[in-house]
Amino acid sequence: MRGLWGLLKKDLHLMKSGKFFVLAGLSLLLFSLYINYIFGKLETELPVMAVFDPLGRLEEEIHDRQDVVFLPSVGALYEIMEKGGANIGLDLSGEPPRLIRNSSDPRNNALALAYARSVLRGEKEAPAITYLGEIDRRMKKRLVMTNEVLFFQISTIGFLGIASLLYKEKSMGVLQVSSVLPVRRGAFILSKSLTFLFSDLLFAAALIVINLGLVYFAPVFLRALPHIVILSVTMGLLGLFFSLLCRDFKQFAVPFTFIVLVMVSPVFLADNAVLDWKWLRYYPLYHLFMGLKKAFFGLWTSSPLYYAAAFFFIGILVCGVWYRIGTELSRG
Amino acid sequence: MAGLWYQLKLTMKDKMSIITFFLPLVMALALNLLSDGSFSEEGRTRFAVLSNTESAEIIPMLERYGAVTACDSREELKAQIIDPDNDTIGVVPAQGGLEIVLAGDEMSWTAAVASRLESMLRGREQAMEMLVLPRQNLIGELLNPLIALVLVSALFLGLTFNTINLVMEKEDGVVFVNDVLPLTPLAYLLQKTAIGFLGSVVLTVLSALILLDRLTQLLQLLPLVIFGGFVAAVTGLMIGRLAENLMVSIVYIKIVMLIFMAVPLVAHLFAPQAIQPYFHILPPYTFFAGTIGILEHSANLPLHTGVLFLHSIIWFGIYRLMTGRKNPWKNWNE
Repeated sequence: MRGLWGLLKKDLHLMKSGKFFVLAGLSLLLFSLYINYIFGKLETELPVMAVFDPLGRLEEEIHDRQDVVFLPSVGALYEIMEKGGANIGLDLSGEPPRLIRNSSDPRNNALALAYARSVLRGEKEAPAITYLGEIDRRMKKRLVMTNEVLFFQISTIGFLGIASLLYKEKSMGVLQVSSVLPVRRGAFILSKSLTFLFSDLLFAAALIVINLGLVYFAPVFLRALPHIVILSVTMGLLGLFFSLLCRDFKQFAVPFTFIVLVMVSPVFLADNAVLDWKWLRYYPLYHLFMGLKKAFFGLWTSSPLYYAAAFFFIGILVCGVWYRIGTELSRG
Repeated sequence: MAGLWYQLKLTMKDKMSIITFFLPLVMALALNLLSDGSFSEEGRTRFAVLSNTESAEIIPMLERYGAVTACDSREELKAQIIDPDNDTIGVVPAQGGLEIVLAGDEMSWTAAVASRLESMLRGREQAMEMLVLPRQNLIGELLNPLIALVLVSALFLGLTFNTINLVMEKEDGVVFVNDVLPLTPLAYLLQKTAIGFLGSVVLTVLSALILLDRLTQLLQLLPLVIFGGFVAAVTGLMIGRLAENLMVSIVYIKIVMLIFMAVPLVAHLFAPQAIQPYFHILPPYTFFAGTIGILEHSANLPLHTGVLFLHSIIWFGIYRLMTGRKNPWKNWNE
């Protein structure tokens, strides 16, 4: 046990000298500034209706609504609809009234038509809506963004950090020393994974407290904990494996770029609904991301199969790293 | 000239530099593909119902308007509605009407539909004419900033070349330096700057060739690229001087790139018009604003070029100050 403690202390010290904490702290600061001061204020919601109503056919209460804009002329209405500036446009100056849409999906247009008819009939909105959740739109956006930042940070920075640590050790000759000293491989792997797990958890905690508030800390952090641990350990071990595989840091740049571009970016693109890829269901990292995201929203949907797969994969990685360390030490 | 060729060969041996070289080009190609419209069709409104006999009547009605998911239990329905990935309206027949269930974090359009759903399903038909406007490109408005962002990243990724070149020399000791010596300090400096400068310019011009539609735009961009490339090269020299080893230099490059890419984009998208001119303190912002100007045919090229020229002089001056004198504190420690 004393050996492990010594290794942990040494790894932490190396991380400090490798400017790892500077990078983590700076990205924490930058992301938090972004979420708090820019993303939070960003208004991406379209108004529900844009209306030109010179004859006053709509009722007063619709005039008071925040999500409806009234325009002074037909020209202004068309201009805003051409830019896609509202969900539906209503031109009530003629008979029959005209609905303006800039989408070509037939079902969406049928929905818009039915909605516009209901508005014109002057029927009251049904007040009896049951709300299940406690979070509003604003909070949802914050949760989504914080989750994305966390996922990105853990998967890329941990991967890079563990590699920079190992190469530093290589260049300092620590690995050669380890090969003649009775340092166990298990302790070696455990110490590397633990230090990065520790720093990832610290980062996650700070990110959640800063961007979601203390009230959310306990529930979100506790629910997200298993996913953060799985992600952090997996990425740490992957980083360790590749850095043992590649001779120096420059070679390591290849898997690193691969990880960032090929592994992480599809998840983001799919999450932001830019791309609609069915095969993502077969992609393990996607489930990890979704597990983390749902944990943020208070859903426990990950099945035992998910955890079993995660442990299985981590087991394989540990075996791979175990084997590589052996060859590395005998080479050194 | 032979020295410069040698330096370029040295840089090109490095995998990191080669990846860096292809990264903006890949981004540019991806952006080109995206803008051709490979986006998923806009989302349909989703409804969730319980699969029992009472719902049998409303399912076909809802299917005219969107996608319907039938759930076996109340719990499944709840999970479907709370699911943060999509906005789902839960519809359950109740006495004398429908019970509408929402999570509470829906978009305003979904919430608006939910609040009128009952009237929409049961109401009478009534005359209304519908006009569908031709659809606009989804990322049309975001495209110009994205193009500018890729060009900024190409410009400043060029600094990787001379940073890594400098740091490699540091790590390998003086072996390689001896090969290019004897050099005057000025010639050495010029060679080191030239690597970063050439990297930046070539990379940016290639990315611009992929991204811009017209050659005149590229010609307009050229003066910005030249002075911007010089600033990038000097920044690379500074990082190369400051970083002790390769790992640290990569961390520094990451930090600098993050700031140089984030600040212009954020300033362009969100800063009020009145304070935008102050962002010209940061060279990438000037380049970014110039590129946007060229894309929107409203560029004030002499201004942007002039500002970048000033930056070149100032940054080079700072670099000389950093290295020209010996470290004033050094003697105290020894």
